[in-house]
Order: sequence, then C-alpha cells, then structure tokens
Amino acid sequence: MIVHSKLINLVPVIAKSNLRHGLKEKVSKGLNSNINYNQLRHSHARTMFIRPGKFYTKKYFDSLHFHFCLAGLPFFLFIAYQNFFVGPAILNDIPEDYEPRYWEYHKNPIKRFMSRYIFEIPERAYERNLHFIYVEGCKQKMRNLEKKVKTMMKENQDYKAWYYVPVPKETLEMKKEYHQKYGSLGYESKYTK
Amino acid sequence: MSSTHDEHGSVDLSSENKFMNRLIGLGKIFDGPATFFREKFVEKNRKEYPYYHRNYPRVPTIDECAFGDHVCFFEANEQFLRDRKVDKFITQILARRAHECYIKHGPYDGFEKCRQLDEDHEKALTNYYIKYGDLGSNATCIDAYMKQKHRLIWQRRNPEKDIVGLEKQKEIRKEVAEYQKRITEDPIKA
Repeated sequence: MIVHSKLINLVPVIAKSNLRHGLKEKVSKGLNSNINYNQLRHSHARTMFIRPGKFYTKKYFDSLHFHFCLAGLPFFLFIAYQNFFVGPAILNDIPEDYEPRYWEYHKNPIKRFMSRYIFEIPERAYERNLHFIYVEGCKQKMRNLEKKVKTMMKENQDYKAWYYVPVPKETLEMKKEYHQKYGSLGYESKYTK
Repeated sequence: MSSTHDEHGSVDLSSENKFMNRLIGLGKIFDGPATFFREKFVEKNRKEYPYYHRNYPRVPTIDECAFGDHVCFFEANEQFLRDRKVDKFITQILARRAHECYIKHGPYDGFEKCRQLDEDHEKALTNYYIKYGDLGSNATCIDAYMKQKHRLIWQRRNPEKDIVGLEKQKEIRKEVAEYQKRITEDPIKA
C-alpha cells in the first residue's frame, strides 16, 4: 500500500488551530465549523513577504561607490605611491654658496610639485607687489602736489589756470555801471536794518 | 616625567616606574608592525632629499625709512610681523619649559627649582608686552615705534617711577617662599 502524504491537507487543520494567535481573519470553529470563511482553492501556499524597501540604501551605496572609484581611489593611490616611494623631505641647514630654489622650501612632495609647476614664484610676486606699492606712492605724491597747487591758486588768485574764468570786458563795464547806480550790494543797506 | 622634549624630534621613553614601562610596552605592540613594514619596504624604495627653512635677510627698520617711502615701510612692516611671531613663540617655549619642570618636580619642590625658568618666562612676557602689547592684531611697525617714542618721553619726564615692577615681584615671591618654609617647619606656629 502506497501512502501519498499531502501536507496541503493539513492547511485547514492549521487554519483552525489555536497556535495562530492575533489573526484578523475569521476562523471557522465549533458551531461555525461547517462554514468555510477562508475559501481555500489549493492554488499555492506562497504569500508575499512584507519587508522595508531597498531602493534608497542601494542608491546611496551605488553613488558612494561611483564617487569613490572616480575620485577617491585614484587620489588615494597617487598619495599612497608618493608616500611609499618618494616620501617627505628632510630638514637640512642651508649650505653656504647655495641659494635654494623656491620649491625646495616645502616638505611634502606634492606641494613641492605644485609650487614648482602650478603656482607662481613667491619672490617674483613679492617684487611685483613692491613695484605696485611704489607706483601708487608716486601717484599719491603727484596728486597731493596738485591739490596743494590748486589750493594756493585758489587763495592767491594770481595764476591764469585753476579758478580762472575768462570774462569779456563788456560784462565788467556793465558791472561797474550797476555798482555805480545801485551800490556793491545791489541795494542800499540803510533800508534793510 | 618619562618624556622630555629637550631635543627636537626625540622623546625619551624610559623610566624607573614599572607601571609606566608596561604602558610603554603596550604602546609598542601597535608600534611594532608599523616600524617593521616601514623598515623593510618603505625605506628601501625612498631616496633622501632635503628641504630648507626660509632665511629672511634683515632689511632697514622703520626708523631708517624716509617719510613717503612706502616700499621701505612695507618691508619693515613684514619684518616687524615676523619678529612679533618669533617673540610670541619664544614666550611659549619658555612657558613650556617651566611647566615641564613643575610636572617633573611637583608643585612644592618646583617652587624652588623652577624659579629661574619662571622668572625668565615672566621677563619675556613683560618685554613682549612692552613692545607689542595693547596694539591689536592689525598693528603696524609705526604703531610700535610711536609707542616706544611715547614710553621714552614718559620715562624722561618721570625718572623715578617704575611701572614694570620687576623688583617688587621678586620681593613678593621671596615673602611667599619664606611663608611656605615657615608653614612646613611648624604649621601650628606660623
């Protein structure tokens, strides 16, 4: 006699058992046992396993990996190579009759490279700044001198330059006539006091 | 203290204290693999090459500059700022020395043995204050020069007065030392 055991026949037993606590569906037991609330169609026993989503974590790690591989790893390898095979410089006293080049004042090899090939020479920049300071000082002096001359011309009124307004002689004659007629004020002051 | 910083770059990691020695040994567990790796693989592939510290030549100071010579003023100002930095570091080094002396001897013995270092530190601080103090961080060499001028004028007008008071500080310290001695010898009496 061959016995074929089908575990699927246990499904209604499990459905009705007391071990399944906290269910929301109705289980037919006792007086209602003839009613089947759960229509079992014997199609499958696989249900959806509900779990939190993986989209954001995967996206985060993906972008992290992308940026690391693009920029982090090459720079890390470059810096590791520099530290293993080249190494930092060692401090020495400046020997006589030798002036060190402008990049030899740095310890880190990458900084040495950058100061040698990328950035400008500090001595050159310094001298250029001094030049600009000198030029601006010269301009300042010239401007101050011009100001002084202008004020003196204004005070003394003895030069045909600043504060000189050429006026035709007819206006001066008219002015003289007016003064003769009406006085230097244009009216007589004894009537105002 | 087991570690001293008298030489640049070298730390003395030996002491009579067993506890200290065991702690140092525990540190060496981390140190071992790193030094092994370095000596075997790293030091062999490297070539030594030098770097130097900048040697700034002395330029004329502000009292040797003509009025209206802005270039001379700029260079004198740079020199002034460099000198101020150097003097600041000098005071810090003296402070570090006195502090280490106190750590080594303790606060009671240190009061006698570290007095010279204390005095050096205090003198350096007073001199720094006389030259650079109360001018602010945006000070120029002209500010310091004028400060010196006013100070000399004041000293000329008030020859007897002493604003620094180094001797008074010495007397105070002597009194405190004598009091301490009296207290230890006979705490109930004094």
